[in-house]
Amino acid sequence: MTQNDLASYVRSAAEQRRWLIPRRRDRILVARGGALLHAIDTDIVKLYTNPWVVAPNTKRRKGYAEIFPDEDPQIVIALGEALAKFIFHQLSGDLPLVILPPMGEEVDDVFTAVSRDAEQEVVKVLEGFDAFKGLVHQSVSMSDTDPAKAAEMLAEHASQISLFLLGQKGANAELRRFGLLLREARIAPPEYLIDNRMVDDTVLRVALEPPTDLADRLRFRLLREAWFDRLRKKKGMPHDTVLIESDAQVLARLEWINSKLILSEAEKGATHRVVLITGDHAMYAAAEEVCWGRSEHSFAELFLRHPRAYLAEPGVLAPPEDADQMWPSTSVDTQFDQWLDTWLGELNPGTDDFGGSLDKLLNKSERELEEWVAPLIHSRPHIKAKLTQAWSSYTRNLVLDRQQSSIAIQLTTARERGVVEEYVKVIEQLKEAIDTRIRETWEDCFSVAAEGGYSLLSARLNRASSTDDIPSRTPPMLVFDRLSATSNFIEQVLRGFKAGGLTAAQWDEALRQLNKEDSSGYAFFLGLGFFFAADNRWRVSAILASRALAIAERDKPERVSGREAAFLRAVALRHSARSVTDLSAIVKLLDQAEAAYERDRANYAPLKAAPCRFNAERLALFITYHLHRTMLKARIPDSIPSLGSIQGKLVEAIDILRTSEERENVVLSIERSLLTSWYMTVLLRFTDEDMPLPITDCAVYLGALEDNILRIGGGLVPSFCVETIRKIGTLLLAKDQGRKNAARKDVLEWLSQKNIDLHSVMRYDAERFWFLKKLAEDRIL
Amino acid sequence: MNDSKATKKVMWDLAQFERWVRVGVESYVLEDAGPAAFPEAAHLILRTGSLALGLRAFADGVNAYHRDNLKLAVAQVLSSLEPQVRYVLVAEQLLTIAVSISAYPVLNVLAAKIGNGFFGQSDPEGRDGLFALTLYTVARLSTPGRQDAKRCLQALVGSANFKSAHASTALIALCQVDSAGLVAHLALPGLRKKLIEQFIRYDKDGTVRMRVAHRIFAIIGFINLESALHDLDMLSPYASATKTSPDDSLIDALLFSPDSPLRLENKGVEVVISLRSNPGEFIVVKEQASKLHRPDFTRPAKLPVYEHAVADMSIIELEQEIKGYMSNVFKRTSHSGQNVTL
Repeated sequence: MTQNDLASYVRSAAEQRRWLIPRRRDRILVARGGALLHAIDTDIVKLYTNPWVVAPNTKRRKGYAEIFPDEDPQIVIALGEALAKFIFHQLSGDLPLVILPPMGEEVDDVFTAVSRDAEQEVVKVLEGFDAFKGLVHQSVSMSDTDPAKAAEMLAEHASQISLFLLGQKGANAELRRFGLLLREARIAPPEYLIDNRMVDDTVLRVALEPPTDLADRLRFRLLREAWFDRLRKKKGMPHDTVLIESDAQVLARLEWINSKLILSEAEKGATHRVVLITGDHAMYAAAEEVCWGRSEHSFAELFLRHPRAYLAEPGVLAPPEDADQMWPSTSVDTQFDQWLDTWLGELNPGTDDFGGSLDKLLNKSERELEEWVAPLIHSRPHIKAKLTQAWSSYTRNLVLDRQQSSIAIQLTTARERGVVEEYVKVIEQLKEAIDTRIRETWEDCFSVAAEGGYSLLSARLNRASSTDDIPSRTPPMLVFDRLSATSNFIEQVLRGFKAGGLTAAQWDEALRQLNKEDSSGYAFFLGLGFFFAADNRWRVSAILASRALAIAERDKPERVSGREAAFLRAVALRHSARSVTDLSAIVKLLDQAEAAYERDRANYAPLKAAPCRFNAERLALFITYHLHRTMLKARIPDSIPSLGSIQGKLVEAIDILRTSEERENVVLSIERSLLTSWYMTVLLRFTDEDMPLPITDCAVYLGALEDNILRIGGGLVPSFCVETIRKIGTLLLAKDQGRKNAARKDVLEWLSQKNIDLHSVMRYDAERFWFLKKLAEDRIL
Repeated sequence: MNDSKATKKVMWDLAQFERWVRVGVESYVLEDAGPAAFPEAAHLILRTGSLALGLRAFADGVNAYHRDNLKLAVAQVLSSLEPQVRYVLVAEQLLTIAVSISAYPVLNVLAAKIGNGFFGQSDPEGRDGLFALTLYTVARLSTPGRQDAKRCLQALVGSANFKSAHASTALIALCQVDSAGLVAHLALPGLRKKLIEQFIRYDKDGTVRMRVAHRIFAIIGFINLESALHDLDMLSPYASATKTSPDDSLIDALLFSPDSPLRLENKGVEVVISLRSNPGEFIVVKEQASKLHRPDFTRPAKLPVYEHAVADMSIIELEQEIKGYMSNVFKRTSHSGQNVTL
């Protein structure tokens, strides 16, 4: 044991002891009848979802769970996990942890990054698997391959795949942990606690309310400015100001809430505190300099808690077997506290001011501390061993949860033995295992998305109008002739949107049924794609449809031609296109859907799969091109038919549809799309080509659209866009001035700035709605 | 010889004034005819050294009836300009004259001619400045309470050629006409959005914002500002550095920057807004029931989970990703293609 060695142990122990002090005060507050509410910073969410990064020390920052020097990395990660689990699942009982705005947004950003990484990880693993499979076959079939080199490369791929399958580390693992947190609603903004009556106490409820009236908002802003200045000093100028502002806002809100609590404490006697759990060094540095009222403690001591403050809590560490006799636990000091005190006490006897002596010790430079411990090396030679022994006893139960599947074990064995033939045995199962893993991650996220748990994180402002529940766009009609569970799922999605949604458990069950009916994953990804389309998340829908299409092409599962996936992807790409270039892939997808339909019919003649959908979508695509041209001044390819020709084709399509023998709701859905497209086309021609509006046809098609909206069932409520067209049509055809004025007023109110913002899906939508509004406003119609 | 003597012989009707202005400005601008383009005002143009000032002196010299005809004539010539690039310079000159002689009738033609027409479009042929000049013209003609100026500004704001670069000028002009209407002005379709765009995208160092803040406060004063603050969409408790409320940049410029005209002080019971240059001049923020909508958290709304993850990927990246995925899938050698139903 060297001086340096002992000094770093002493410093670590003293640091840890200092982190524990505020927690002691929390226990005293609770013992006196007070109540604590815990808020968390984004880094604590990361400690939960990504302990292998946040727990250990790095070159730039101290790890959140690296307590003593030279710790086994596995212990550090496991301890990080244990601390995070305690914070999220035990610390506040049934109450969620509070996430102060705008931290929800930060968590949202983290989530964004993680889900993107997860997607990339999947691509990499699949690529790796592809290469791996190729290598295995090559090694088996070709004798001239260098066996040692092949084995080395195989081992590398196998290790990447094993890691992914283990699901403990990496972006997919992180994404799943996120899913878990959100699913159990373990984090929520303060208003959520109020609105869901999770806090009974009036004082606490009032304090948690956000500052809304002007004077309060201005006061709050002043607090934020002050925190911003303090943090900027601590973090230094090059630091990202966006992050500083977020932190400033969180600290201002923490101050705001606690000021209110303390103000009413004198009147009502109730003692409540909200504390923020964070490991952010700059936040501590800034908050340590702020004195709080008449308290002798700083803002940091009063209201900030490091995750390590919870190290001594039950379930985090295992108490040493003899701990009870040596350190009988009191109500405010844990055995761990006392153990550390005793150990540190051996070094620093004779002072009553414990906090002060810890500070003194920690303020010593490396050299001073080494000199200070030097005599102990001789007087107490076993002092370090005593600490490390006790510490390993505390950490003895900390192990990472490793549950390897049999396939992963086989892969690991093959890798360790380096025998190519052993890989051959596992290769087919491996593919399935990878697919299952990908699907599991999506499943976890999906149920959370479907139930809306994620929305707990951030406030949705301006969501109170009556048009909020109107879908901006409706999803395309997918037709499943024999897959009844898939059909049911689609219906559930449509109904779910109307009735306020299903719970995560109900979604889980719906997904189980999907998987049961079609184990290839095709129906699963298609169903999910449909869900996201219904929720107007078209880009996600496009990715999922593409995954379904890939399964159809790769695995060629029974009863699957890829028709619906190609169609959904075409529709989703059209809705999510940011420019004309983005539209170019769509025609091919529609061709693909049509070809698949022809194959399906060849196999099963009575098939009804509404091929007219593809034509309707093709026409909608052409109009989309023209909208890009007229609204966004984009150049479009010469091959796109003119608006006049599109109008003619729409009329033909509407006529053909009248004799269709498809199911009623399918026909109605296609008809609605064609009628809306027709109206948009004539309005565009009216302004773009100075073509007079065909009033007689307008009347006929408006009648048809109104009839369609009245007749349609199955949860397909008219979208905002369809309603807009209907209202414009009503204005156009109003017979007298009185009705015209009323219709105009209706259009203008409907196309409010807020509604336009809320319901603009396509790139040009806002411009299009403004254009329609202007037609009404300028009395052109 | 004074100006009135010089111009007293002019006894024209509107049509004659219109011809005089049209021929005069075209010769002056397109043919470089100099002061001779306006024979009756040439000496005034020469004396003042500027066409606009010369014509102002000319207008001052004729009687009110003829002065009104001259003003109308400027508006009509402006309105009758053919949409050709060569007339852009003529339009510019007419606007300058309009400001100079306070030709209010132009307020009735500007929106149609420049707001939505050829002249207001921005392109490399030199039309870029005309819309801005128009706004400047209207701003100069915008005296408190002038309804035609207000209508003209509203129409220009809603016009096709209105760009974010014009937003702050329009807002200031609107405040000049109606100093109590800041909130209503910002609610004009598109104005708020374009103002934010101007501030965030084109005013990186904040100088425009600061100028606008000083101008607006100088025009509307403490009382109108305090009352507007209650209705502006700003300082949301949910805002962050990346998701600010729409009027935050304006309020930052008015109150929170070291160069702002005003400053805010929390005096315990009261919150006070005072002049930064003279803290003795201040207004107390009124206590008023909140008008800020506080979202309801009882029922979680559906929210993006994965959308954000891909929202900032371009569709090309998305395609590449999907292609990457597709190219790595395995082709199975056998399949049972029977009974295909979806």
